[in-house]
Amino acid sequence: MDSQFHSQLKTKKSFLEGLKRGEILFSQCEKCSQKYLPPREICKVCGSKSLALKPVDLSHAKVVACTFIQVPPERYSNEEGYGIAVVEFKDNLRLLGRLNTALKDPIKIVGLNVKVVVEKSKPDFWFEL
Amino acid sequence: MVQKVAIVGVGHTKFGHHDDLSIRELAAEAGFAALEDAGIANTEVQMLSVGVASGSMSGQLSPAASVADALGIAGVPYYRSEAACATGSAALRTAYAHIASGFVDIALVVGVEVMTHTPTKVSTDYLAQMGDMEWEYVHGITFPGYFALMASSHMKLYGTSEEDLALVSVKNHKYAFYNPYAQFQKRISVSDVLSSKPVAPPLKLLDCSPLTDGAAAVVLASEELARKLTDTPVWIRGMGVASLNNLIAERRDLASIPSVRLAAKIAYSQSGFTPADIQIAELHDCFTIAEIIEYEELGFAERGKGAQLVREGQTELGGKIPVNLSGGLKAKGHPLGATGVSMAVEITKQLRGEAERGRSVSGAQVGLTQNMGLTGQYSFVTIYSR
Repeated sequence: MDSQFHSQLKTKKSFLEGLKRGEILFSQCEKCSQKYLPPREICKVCGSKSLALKPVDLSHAKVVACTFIQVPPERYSNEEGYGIAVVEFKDNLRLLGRLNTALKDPIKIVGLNVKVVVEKSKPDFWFEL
Repeated sequence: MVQKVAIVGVGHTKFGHHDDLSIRELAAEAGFAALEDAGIANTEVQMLSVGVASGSMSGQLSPAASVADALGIAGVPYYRSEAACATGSAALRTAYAHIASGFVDIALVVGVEVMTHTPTKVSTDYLAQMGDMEWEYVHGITFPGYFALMASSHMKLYGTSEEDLALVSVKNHKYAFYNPYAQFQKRISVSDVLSSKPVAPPLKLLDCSPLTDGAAAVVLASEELARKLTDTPVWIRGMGVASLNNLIAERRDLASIPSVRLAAKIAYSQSGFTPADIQIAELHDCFTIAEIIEYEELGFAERGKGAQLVREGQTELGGKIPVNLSGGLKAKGHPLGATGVSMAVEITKQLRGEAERGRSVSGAQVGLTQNMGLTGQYSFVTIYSR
């Protein structure tokens, strides 16, 4: 799985630092309490730039949408049939990522709980059914 | 004061594979046809608005200058607008705003794209790069993939089936058969769709619009000039433009596209028309699931009941609201920068009574186009009348 990220943006860099500690980080506005995953640097609700990074509670992770990429882009053309899912954690926080699963029916997968795997050394994360 | 704006000329190339034609040549073919239809010369154009979504696929970056050169247009303002798959509508909006504001009286809009000059995997990659590079592209998601996520959510929530999705594709191919400009002039069956190659399950090849080369053009004019140029102006009565947050993970409901609803609300309000007044519509069926969700967002069906509309044949010719009698993106083809302009060409032909036999709504007075970029980040809804 590709873990090469391009950005030097603070949120992405912080997110990767979090992965190295085994955490998925979200940001929360210190003024209006709005939560953001992926983390962002400005609040979309109140405009505040005071947001704190906090670890997501990974104990509950449920698939809300799912597919398998059978025709990959050139960059990932050595892979085929990999799963992609949008997963929902507590507090309505959601994240898009790769899904490893033996079950290949997206409609049956939607609604199921998954495990979040954080690979500290890469750093990277993915979901497992 | 906002001036009234009309379409007074249209042009269109064949959509499909044009291995031997550049964007410059395709744009010129559609552009000249639109000027001829309007009865004006290139030297009379006061503003040229160009739509090209991707420089990478044609290799011609900053394409507006090249397109203008091919049309023999210089001196007047010209530039490109970009909004991914809604690029054509963005270019239309740019020209519309120039006339509505009184900056110019007549403008030419040309939308063009070549997508088959690079290998499919490379084109797929260029398209995928329109998704967020930091948070989404890095996971290997493609555009069929994004819409498959939305399909999985709509199917789970509302019971929409793979057969329902197939019906959209079958319907749109049925009408493309009668459209000489369509990429696929052939009928297909539900079982053809269901047995086609999986691209991003639940979406299969025949749920997906193709890679297409082509161009479309329209001439827009102010009310005063339009009445001098033609007896059959098609008036732009409302144009709603809206946007949506970029990241899929931040959306609360993946079975909806709120920007389409918002753009439609603006267009209905500007025009004074309601969904029940629309007699023909061209919708953005980049993937079959999109057309079903759009029925709901545009007010043609209740939330979650989009599939019922296609099941009952209500979006066929003779139904409550015929949709995509051009063949839609699915069967007419989807050259990104041309698509929004092509929709305007189609509605103009329909309202003038010039659409080909087998796919024309006789006596139609009011039409709607809905064009979107990415998964709704860019949304345009336009309402036209005779």
